[in-house]
Amino acid sequence: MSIASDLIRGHTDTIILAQLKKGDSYGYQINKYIKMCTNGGYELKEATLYTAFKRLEGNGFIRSYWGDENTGARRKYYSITPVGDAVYTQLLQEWNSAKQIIDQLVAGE
Amino acid sequence: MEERLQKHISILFQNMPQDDNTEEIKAEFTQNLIDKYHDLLAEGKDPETAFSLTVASIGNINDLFPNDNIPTQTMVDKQKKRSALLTAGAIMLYILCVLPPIITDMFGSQYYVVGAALMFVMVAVATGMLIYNHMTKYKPAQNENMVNDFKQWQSGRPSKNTVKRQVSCIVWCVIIIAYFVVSFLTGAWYITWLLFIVGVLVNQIVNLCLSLGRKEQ
Repeated sequence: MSIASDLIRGHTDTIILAQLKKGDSYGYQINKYIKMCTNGGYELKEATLYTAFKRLEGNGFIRSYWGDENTGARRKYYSITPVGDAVYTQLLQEWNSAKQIIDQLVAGE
Repeated sequence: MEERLQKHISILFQNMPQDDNTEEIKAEFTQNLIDKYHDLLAEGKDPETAFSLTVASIGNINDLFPNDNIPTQTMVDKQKKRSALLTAGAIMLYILCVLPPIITDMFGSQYYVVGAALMFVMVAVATGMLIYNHMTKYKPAQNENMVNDFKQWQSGRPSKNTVKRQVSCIVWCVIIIAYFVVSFLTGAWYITWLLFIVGVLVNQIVNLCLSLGRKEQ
């Protein structure tokens, strides 16, 4: 799991952008998705997630707003911006080419 | 249990700058953690385990704040040196402050006032140095020690105590200076010691005012 968790941590930004591309979301929901995809093996720390959100927001890739929850507590939502969308496409391309290179490099034959 | 989580977060963020940004982070964290806690309960974890797991998932919150108020080791060393210099210099001035009256006295009693004035200037400078040193000294935040944090959190804002100490320091310096000025000017040494009792009184009144002010908050 250690290679996977390193890779996940290294691509936090891409993962968040990918999730927000599907629709507005909030910290815990994204973390829950990561946990589900890794069969409970990995999840981000709250602080790590928040730092990533702040960084993305600072760069103008995402926007945040406070949702009005009927249940009482207010929740902070994030949504992707057009700039973020473009960055996501680029990051995805980079990841795909990196994946190909690594596949070649680690292939046994 | 939600209150317990909230309390835990409050204590955790105690040493961080208390502004809107921190409040926002706290609100966001609290909401996420409460959700997580309930999910863990739904998975069949017992409340205590769920709480520990939730708290463990917070991670290192120091990453959230730029470290510009945490000095490096060389800065701490430099400050220590400066602090030692200021204190040593102040004490030297205190010891040497009797020299001007002694020396001017040798030239004749008409220079007596000059000597006394010089002495007070030296005392004032030394006292100023001590106060400046005390006020600008870097005090490391004890965020490793949860118990201390909690105690401080219970006893209210720590800054009030610092204010109390500084006010008390200033009051005593003023009293000492006043004692010498009044005594030298009037020569009534047999009675001027009463000023020190006045000092105790003033100090207590100031403390009382500060305590009352805190209660009102």
